[in-house]
Amino acid sequence: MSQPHLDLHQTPSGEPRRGFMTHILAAGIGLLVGAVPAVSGLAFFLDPLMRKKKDGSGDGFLKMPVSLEALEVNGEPQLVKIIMNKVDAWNTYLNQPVGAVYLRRADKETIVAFNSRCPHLGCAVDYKPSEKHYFCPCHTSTFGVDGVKQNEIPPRDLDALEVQIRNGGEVWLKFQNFRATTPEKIPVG
Amino acid sequence: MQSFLNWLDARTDYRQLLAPIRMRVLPAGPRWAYSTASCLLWLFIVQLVTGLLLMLSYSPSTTTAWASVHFIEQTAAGHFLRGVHHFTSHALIILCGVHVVRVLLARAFQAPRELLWITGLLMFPLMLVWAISGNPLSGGLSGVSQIEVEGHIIGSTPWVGPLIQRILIGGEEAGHLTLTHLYFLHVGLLPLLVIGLLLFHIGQVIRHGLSVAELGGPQDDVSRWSAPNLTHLIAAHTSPLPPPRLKYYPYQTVRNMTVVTVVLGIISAIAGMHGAPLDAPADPTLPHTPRPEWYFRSLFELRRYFVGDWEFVATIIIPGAVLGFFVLFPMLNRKCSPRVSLIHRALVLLVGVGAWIGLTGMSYLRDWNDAEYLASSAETEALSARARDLADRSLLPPEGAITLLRDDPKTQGPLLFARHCASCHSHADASGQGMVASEPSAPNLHGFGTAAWISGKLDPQRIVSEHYFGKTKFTEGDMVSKIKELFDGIEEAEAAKMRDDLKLVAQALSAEAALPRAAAADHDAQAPIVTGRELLSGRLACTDCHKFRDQGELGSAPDLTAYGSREWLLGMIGNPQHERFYSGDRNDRMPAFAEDTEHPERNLLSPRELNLLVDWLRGDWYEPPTTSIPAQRRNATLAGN
Repeated sequence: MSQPHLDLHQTPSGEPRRGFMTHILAAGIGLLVGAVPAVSGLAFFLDPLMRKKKDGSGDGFLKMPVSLEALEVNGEPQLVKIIMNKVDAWNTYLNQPVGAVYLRRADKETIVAFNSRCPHLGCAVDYKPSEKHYFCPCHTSTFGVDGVKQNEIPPRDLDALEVQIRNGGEVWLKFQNFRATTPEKIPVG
Repeated sequence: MQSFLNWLDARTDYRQLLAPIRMRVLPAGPRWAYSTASCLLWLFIVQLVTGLLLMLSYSPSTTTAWASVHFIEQTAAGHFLRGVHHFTSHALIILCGVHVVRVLLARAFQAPRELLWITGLLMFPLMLVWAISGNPLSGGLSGVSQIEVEGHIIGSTPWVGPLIQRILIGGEEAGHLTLTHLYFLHVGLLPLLVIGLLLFHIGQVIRHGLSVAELGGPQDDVSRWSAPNLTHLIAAHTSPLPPPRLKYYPYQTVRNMTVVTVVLGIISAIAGMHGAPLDAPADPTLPHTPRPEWYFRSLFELRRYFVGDWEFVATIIIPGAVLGFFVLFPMLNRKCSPRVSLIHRALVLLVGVGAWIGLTGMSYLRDWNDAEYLASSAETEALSARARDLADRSLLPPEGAITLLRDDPKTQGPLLFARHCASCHSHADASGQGMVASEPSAPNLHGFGTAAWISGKLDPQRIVSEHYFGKTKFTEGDMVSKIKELFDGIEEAEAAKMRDDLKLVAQALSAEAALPRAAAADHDAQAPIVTGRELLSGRLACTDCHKFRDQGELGSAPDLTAYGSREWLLGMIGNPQHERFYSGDRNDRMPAFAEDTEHPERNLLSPRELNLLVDWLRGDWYEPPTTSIPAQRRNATLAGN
């Protein structure tokens, strides 16, 4: 124990040694009393950091409401809403729109999918057919039809999502969100 | 360090601000009893901190309140904090009482400390209101019923009562606005009021310095200690120097902190082990007998003696008069000599505490001797445990926690059975536990569809007992005579063989029901089930009257295909006169509960109710695993500590 903070309480005449111990005891008990609610309170406050998102069942792929044939080869991207069950703290909401993706048939066999969230700060990008690019209204990020960024505002290209063609024409997609502002694609949740 | 503190002091005068504590001298020395005030202050701070933290996850509305509180309970820290918040509120009320008694005994309300006494007394009812405004916030059954009753008590006050009631409840009936209004009271208005009074109260303590008792007995010159005091205290401290043992800090402080630690330790232990209660989500359709908190039990008991138009005497006049008497007590006591004052105060204390304990004890005694109340509160506890189990299982739909028990066959089944079926059918096990019809006139449906239940129906003696067809017209019917014929004029050895065969038939029929609780047994008994099926349509010739799968015809007796299954029971209860069951006049008095499929609203049972009833009869409901998730979590918490 360092001496200085005790000096404050000492009377000019000096106190008996028991007084010194009593100071320590009073302060110690005070700390102990404060520590219990402080620790549990901090744990409760930091709860969102400790809560892990539960894994959904299955492989995470969703069937899209459009088929391969419905999309024109090398045509314009189509905006598709993603409908999933949404977990919000203590509630489950069934079949909620949780995001949107742009689907585009790049060639006969391949579908390219982009999450519509801008990797800059998460606004929804629009596809502008006249300009043939994706445009973010928040901070004017633009991306080519292939998702490659066309100016230095966004930190990375649009986030491509995994797509599978199943049963000869069904489009299945693994929907994910990624952290904004980072040059790397880091999945959220 | 010292130079930093000097720097700080030069800018903040903090030493002078702390002087009332640092320089305070207790001429009669420190006392454990003086700790009540400090303990109250610390518990108050604990309430503010834990309450503030709970606001992180609490959401006041009828659809979210219970769910968010249950969500808080899911984490060890949330469970603990809510427990501390709950039990500290009780501890605060107890300590308030102790503090008032101590001040009364010490005659510490004497001039010039009247305002100290009055603000303290005003805080007491505010603390009670603060506590009860928190109870309904969980959206639980007892908290919400309490506030409804309390609302009506307020509403019974002449003139302003109904208006205050309307504002408190936020309308005519408890709902979203009740919770937001109580939330406003609990975390907004009452904290401001109490903190305001508390600051004034503490300011008065500093202003007036020590009470007579703290000075070491009655003094002639009280004003010496109640002069403008800050400088006075410092002066008293510096010249002449008091003996160091008499200083408030740290000698009284260490006692205060020890008491606070013990009290908070007890609260933490109870909070960690039991947690705050969480009743079933409030639902006016659930059976519940509301009771006030322990601190209002005396008024609850008092109200029994003032009925009808006189009720306001118990709810308003007497509490108001008692508070008024105590507020005015310093004036009443002023002129008394120390001796008379002591008698005066002792009398008030004896009568006051005696009346409080007497009324409270009487109220609890009444309940402990009331079998009906005890059964009702056990039922509430069972419903609450059930709701928590269901909520532990999965997240809630947006309609909120009220759906938990409303959609639960285990909860709703008995209620529906009692209302619609129990006038004829019993639902009781062999020892008579369950629902027993007062005059049973139809089969006992406990265990319907199980192999044991069907075996009884295939037994020549038991089929004519009141548990099966004994009290129905079927007791004279073909089924009974056929079963009896099976055993007619045969040797004991053959009869034993016949009983074994019928057991196989019962097993086969029970497999038709596909009861979820018999799934494993059915799976393990494939061979006997196949044999049972063959006996049914072969040697025992059940299919002479009954249809079973592709054998036999409909019309003369109930269909045995999928007998006792969900779909079979929905059909049977919906319309027993359908040709699949007891067509035409074969039916014995059983009403059709859901005959009109086009207009479900015209039926006795809605499709929802019918499904719940059938699921319950089939034992088809969720049961938690034997060690529930919260129990595991609590064990983990204890191990962690």
